[in-house]
Amino acid sequence: MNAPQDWVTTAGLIAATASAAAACAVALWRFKSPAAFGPGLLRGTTFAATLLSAAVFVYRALEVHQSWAPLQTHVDGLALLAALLGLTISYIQFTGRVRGLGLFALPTMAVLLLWGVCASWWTLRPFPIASVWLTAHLFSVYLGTLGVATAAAAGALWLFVDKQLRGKDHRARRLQRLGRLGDLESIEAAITGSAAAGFVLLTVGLVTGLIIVTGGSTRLGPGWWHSPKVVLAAAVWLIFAVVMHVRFIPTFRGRRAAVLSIVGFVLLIAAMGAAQTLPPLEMVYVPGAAPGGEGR
Amino acid sequence: MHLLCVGISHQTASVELRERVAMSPEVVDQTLANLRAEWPQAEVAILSTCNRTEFYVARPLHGHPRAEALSAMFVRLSGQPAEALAPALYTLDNEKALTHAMRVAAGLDSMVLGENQVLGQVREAYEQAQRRGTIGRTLHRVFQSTLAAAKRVRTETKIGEGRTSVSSAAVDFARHLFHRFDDKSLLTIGAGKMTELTLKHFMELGPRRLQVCNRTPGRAAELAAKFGGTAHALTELEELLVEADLVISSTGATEPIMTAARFKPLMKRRRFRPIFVIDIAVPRDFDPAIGQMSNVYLYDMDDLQRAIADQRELRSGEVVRGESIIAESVRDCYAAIQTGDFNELIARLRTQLHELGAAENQRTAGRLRGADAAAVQKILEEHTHRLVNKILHRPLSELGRNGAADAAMNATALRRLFDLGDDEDLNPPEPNERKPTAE
Repeated sequence: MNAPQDWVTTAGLIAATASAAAACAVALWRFKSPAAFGPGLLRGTTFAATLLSAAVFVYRALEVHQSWAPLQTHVDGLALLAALLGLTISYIQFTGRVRGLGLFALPTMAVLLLWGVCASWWTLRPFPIASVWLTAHLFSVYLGTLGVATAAAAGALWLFVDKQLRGKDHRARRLQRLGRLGDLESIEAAITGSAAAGFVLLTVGLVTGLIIVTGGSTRLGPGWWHSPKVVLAAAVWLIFAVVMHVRFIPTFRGRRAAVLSIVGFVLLIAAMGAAQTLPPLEMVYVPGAAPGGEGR
Repeated sequence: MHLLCVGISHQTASVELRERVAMSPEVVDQTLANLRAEWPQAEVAILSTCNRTEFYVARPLHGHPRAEALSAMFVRLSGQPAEALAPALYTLDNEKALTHAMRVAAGLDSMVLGENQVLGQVREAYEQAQRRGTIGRTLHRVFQSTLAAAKRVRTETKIGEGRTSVSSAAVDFARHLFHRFDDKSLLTIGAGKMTELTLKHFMELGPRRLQVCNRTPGRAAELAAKFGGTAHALTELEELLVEADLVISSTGATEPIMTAARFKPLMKRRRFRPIFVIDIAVPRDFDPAIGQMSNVYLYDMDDLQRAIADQRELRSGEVVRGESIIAESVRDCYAAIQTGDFNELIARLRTQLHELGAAENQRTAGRLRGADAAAVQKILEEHTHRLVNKILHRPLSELGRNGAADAAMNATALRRLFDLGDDEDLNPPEPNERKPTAE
């Protein structure tokens, strides 16, 4: 334990995780036998998970941090991420264009919330908010992760639908089920759209991150550029640079774009994990500058 | 007459095998002519669709062609060894053949249960055989009853309701791939009936552009004009495929018109844009290997039919009703065929006996000339004796030829036909013989 735990946060995140897990189960059940439930139960459980995540984020900003910068720990970021992902899923459930996205995005949301539970109790560590650059960096990285997570869920959905369409067992009921997930054209549009949004935000995150590690009181020593976090972040940025341009890079259309969006998300999670678990690099002492914190 | 049906269908053979034995109308014409020349007494019709190739034959009971001869034709058509083909071939006779014909026409044997296209194909097979003069009294009755039974099944049951066409299944597949169609280009390769039928469904999606590509430019222009598209020659196919998003292919080509090697560079030129290809031709127009390529979604007839095949479960009640109509129609038709056969048999028997009587009369009349009264009586007795002997010679010599069982059956028939006394079995069971009883 790195800091005092807040049991309201942890309890809220556990409830949100349970709601997200229930939404996953309902989504899967509805996919297999649509007559079993109406859409209300799925929408209700998704909304509950979203609302709880958002409530945790707001509670921490107002009650725990009491600050204008609400992102002060990784838990805050994960709660924000889960709430926004839940909102995205709810929006898709209502618009109905890529309805199958929830089938893959809901488990992602549940995993993020579960990670939030761990981060709120066992690995709680405050970010050293030393400048506005760090706040901008955190916001852009977490919001960028939302785009990347959506792209990854859409990528997984694309691969699933593609596999079903290529399979030779095209029975009527199976095709009806497939029709409820969304068409490949819309799913590919969802991949490129969310990857583009994620890419823009991650670019902002990368630039602000570079500013943080190369200047001011938080400047790192030599070798910063090949630290795991920086290398992984650069890899993620490169991957999403490719994914968002699939329309203009013909060989990356379809399957490759879908796979890359998933790989990019996994790498981003790895980068986040690395930032949270690896020991920080030594900072260069700058005379007269304010002391920095321990995290990146 | 003996009814015979020999064939292969989607129930027994893969699409590859069906492709090999499928016959174009010209080949059917030629085959009918050959069969007519070889077995003039037999009546023949050939039904060849994408799902089946079947020979319907009515021949004298001990006449030709036999099932083996027809199976040999399939072996020749498929180029497969007889042993390999045997599991896919089926042979049905009399009521079973009749039942099968009716089930096929009613769509009960179709992969897409209740589909109505097969009824037209059965009618075409009948009319083609009529034009070639290979239909006689028996097959005429068979086809008339078959078409009538199929119509009854369709009107008296709900077997044909709902999505039963391959075309509607094709549209469903396209919807899984694309969200909007007003920016898509539709290409048809071939301009036949099936293409037109499928095109009708696809035009409802409102594609941006339609291009019709066909070997015969006139037919392409006709179809393009009907649906507001442009006509193109088959030589432009590659250029058209680069531009198209949706392709419906249904030519009568005997070899694939598009191979994987030829298609691969086209995908690069398309910048790997997804392409949806419906290949409803049998034999197939697109090499199946093309379907393995990334961003290519290729569906053939089997895929589409499988997609709607499980409608069977949903309509099981209608199937039962359809089967009972067919059973009734088979009974009536087969009885009519048999009655017709008996009438013909009786007429021939009468002619034969009258011819015998006339010959004997002529002979006796010669002997009676100038004969005295005493001799007349003797001559008449001899006349009667000879006539009876001649009439009975053939039946009596055949009576016990095929063993005791046939002899017993013939003897019973004799007793009944000529009222020769009791109907007792020639071999009654021994007094101590008992039926087994349940323990």
